[in-house]
Amino acid sequence: MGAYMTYKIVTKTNIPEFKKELFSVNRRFSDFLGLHSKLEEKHAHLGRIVPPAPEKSVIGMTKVKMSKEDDGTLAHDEFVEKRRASLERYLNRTASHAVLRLDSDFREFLQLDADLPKATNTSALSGAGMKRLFNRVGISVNKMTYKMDESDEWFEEKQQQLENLDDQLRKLHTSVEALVHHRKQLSLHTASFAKSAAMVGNAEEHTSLSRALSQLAEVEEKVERLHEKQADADFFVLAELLKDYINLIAAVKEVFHQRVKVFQNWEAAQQTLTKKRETEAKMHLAGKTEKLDQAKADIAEWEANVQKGQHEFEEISQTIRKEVDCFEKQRVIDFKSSIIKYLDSLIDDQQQLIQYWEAFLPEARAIA
Amino acid sequence: MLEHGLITDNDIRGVIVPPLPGNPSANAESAENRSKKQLGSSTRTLVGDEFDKTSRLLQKYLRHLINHPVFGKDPKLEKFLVQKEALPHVKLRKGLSSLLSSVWDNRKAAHPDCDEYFQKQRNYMTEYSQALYTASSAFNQIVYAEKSLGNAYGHLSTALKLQTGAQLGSNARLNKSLSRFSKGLEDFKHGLEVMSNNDERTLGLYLEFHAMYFDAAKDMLQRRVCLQVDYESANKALDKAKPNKKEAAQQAKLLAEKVFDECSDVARVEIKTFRQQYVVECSKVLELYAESRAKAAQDMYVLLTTCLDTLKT
Repeated sequence: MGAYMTYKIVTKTNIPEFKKELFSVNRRFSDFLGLHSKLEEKHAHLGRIVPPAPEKSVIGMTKVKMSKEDDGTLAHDEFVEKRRASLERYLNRTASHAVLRLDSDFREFLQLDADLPKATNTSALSGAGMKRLFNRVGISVNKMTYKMDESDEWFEEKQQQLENLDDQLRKLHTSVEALVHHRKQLSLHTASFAKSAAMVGNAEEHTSLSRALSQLAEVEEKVERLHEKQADADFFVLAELLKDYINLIAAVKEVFHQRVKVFQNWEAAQQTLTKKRETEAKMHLAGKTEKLDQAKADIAEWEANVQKGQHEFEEISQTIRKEVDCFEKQRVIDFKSSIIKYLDSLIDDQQQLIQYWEAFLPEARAIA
Repeated sequence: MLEHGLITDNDIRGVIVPPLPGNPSANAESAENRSKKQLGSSTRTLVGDEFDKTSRLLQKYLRHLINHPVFGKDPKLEKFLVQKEALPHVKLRKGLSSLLSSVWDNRKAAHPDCDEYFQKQRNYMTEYSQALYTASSAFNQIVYAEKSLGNAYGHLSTALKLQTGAQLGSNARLNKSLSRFSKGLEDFKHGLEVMSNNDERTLGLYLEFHAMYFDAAKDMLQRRVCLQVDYESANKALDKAKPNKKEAAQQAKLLAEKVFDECSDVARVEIKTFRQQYVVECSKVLELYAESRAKAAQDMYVLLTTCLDTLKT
C-alpha cells in the first residue's frame, strides 16, 4: 500500500509574517497529525487551547484502500470528503487563533513548497489520541493522589460547566446521528417507490396515464436526490459541528489539567524551599559554617524557582481565562451560524419540492 | 357478513367483486408488532391503531359497492347502510375464501382462455396487480420512514429544549437561538406528520385498495375460465354420450353454454367499466397526492422561514 492521498491547501492571507498573500501546498494526512502534535507540545502547557486534529480512522482508510469495486468507490468518495472537510475545519480553527497562526511550524506547514519530513508519532492511534488516552489516565490518577487547593472559584465553575456541556453535546450528537439514519432510509424507500411507479407506468396501456405514472417516477427520483443532499447537510452542518466541539472540549479540559500540573510544580518548589531553609537553620544551630554558603546558594536558587512557579501559574491562569472566553464567544458564533445554515438547507429543499410537485400537477390533471 | 350475503345472493360469476379490506387486530401486542414492523425494531414509539386507515379503506369499499350495477341494487346493501339497529353478529359457517373457491377450482383456473381478448385481459390483470402490490408496499415504507424521521426531529427538538435551561451562563444569546431552533424543529416534525398522513390517505390508500381490486378482476376471469372448462367438458360428454343419455347430455351442454355466455357478456362490461373507472380514479388520486405534497412543502417553507427570521433578529 504505497499510494497515499494528499490534500491541497490554498491559503489567502494578509498577515505580514507570511511570505506571500496567496499560495498552496499539498499535504498528506499524517502531516496534519504531525503539525497538531508539535503545536500541542509547544502551546498546551502554556494554557492555549490547541484545536484537535481529525481522528485517524484505521478501519475507514484501509477499507477504502483495499476496495476497488464500484460501491467501494462511493464509500471511498464519501470517506475522502468527510476527511477533507474535517481537515479544512481543523486548519481554519487553528488559523483563527491569534497566537497559533503565527507559530513557525504552522507557517511552515502552510508555506513550505516541499514535502514535510514524515511525522514519526502517528501510529495506529494518532498522537493526539494517544496523548488524550494517557492524559485521561494521568488525570484520573492525579485526581486520586492530588487535590489542588483551588483559590479561584472561576476555575471550578468553568470545569463543571464544561462537563455539563460535554454531556449535552454528546446527547445532541446521538440525536442527530439518528436523524441522518432515518433520512437515508427515507431516501432509499423513495428510490424503490420510484422504480415501482415506473413499472406500473410500463404496465399501463392508457397512454396519458402511463405517461403521468412515468413522470411520477421521475419526480420521486428527484425527491430522493433531495433527501440524499439533505442527509449530507444533516451530517456536515450539525453532526460534525457537534463532534468537533466534543473534541474541542477535551482540548479545553487539557489546558485545565496543565494548570494543575503547573500548580503542583509551584507547590513542590515551595516545599523544597521550606526544606532548604530548615536545612540552613539546622546548620546554623549546629555551627557547621563551612556548608552554610552552599545552603544559602540553594535557598536563593529555590526562592527563584518558587517565584518562577508562581509566575507560571499566574500566567497560565490568565491565559486560560482569555482562551476560554474566546472559546465561548466562538462557540456562540459557530452554533448560531450552523443553525442558520441548516435551516437554509431545509428551506431550499421545500422550495425545490414545491417546484417539482407543481410541475407535475398539470400532467396529472391532463390524464382523463 | 355483508360481503357474504351479496356474493351468495347474486350471480357473481362475471362480476368483479370489490375487495373487502382485512380486519387488523386492535390490541397492545399487535400495536407493538406493527410499530416494530413500520418503524424499525429499536423504536420505542407506538404506532396508533390502524383504525383510521381501515375505516377509509372500508369507505372506499362501500362506495364501490354502491356504484356497482349489481351490488348497488341489492337490498342487503341498502339494509346495511340504512338500518339503525346493530346487525346480528352471525358466525359464518363457511369462510369467505372457501366460498369463493367453491365457485372455481385451481386446476381449472390455470386453463388457457379460448378467447384472445379475455386471455390478454387476464395477463394484464395479473401483471398490473403485481406491479400495484409492489408499489403499494414501497409506498408504505415511505410513509413509515416519514413518520420515523418526524420522530427523530422530535427527539432532537426535545433534547435542545431540555438543555437551554442549563447553558453556560454567559450564553444567553445562544440560549435564545437554541430554543427558537428547537421550536422550528418541533414545527417541522408536525409538518412531516401531516405529510405522511396525507400520503397515506391519498396514494397509500389508493394503491393498497386497487392492488386488491385488480386481483379481484383476475379472480373473476379465472371463474369465467372455469365455466369455459365446464362447457368444454359438457361438449365432450355430449359427443361421448350413449343414445339413452343423449337428451340429458344435450340439456347439460346447453345450460353450460348459457351460463358461460352470460358470464362472458357480464364480464366484458365489467372489465370495460373497471378499466375506465380505474383511469379516472387514478388520475384524481395523482392530482390529490401532488397537491397535498405541494401544500405540505409550502406550509413547511412558511414555518421554516418564520423560524429563520426569529433567529436573524
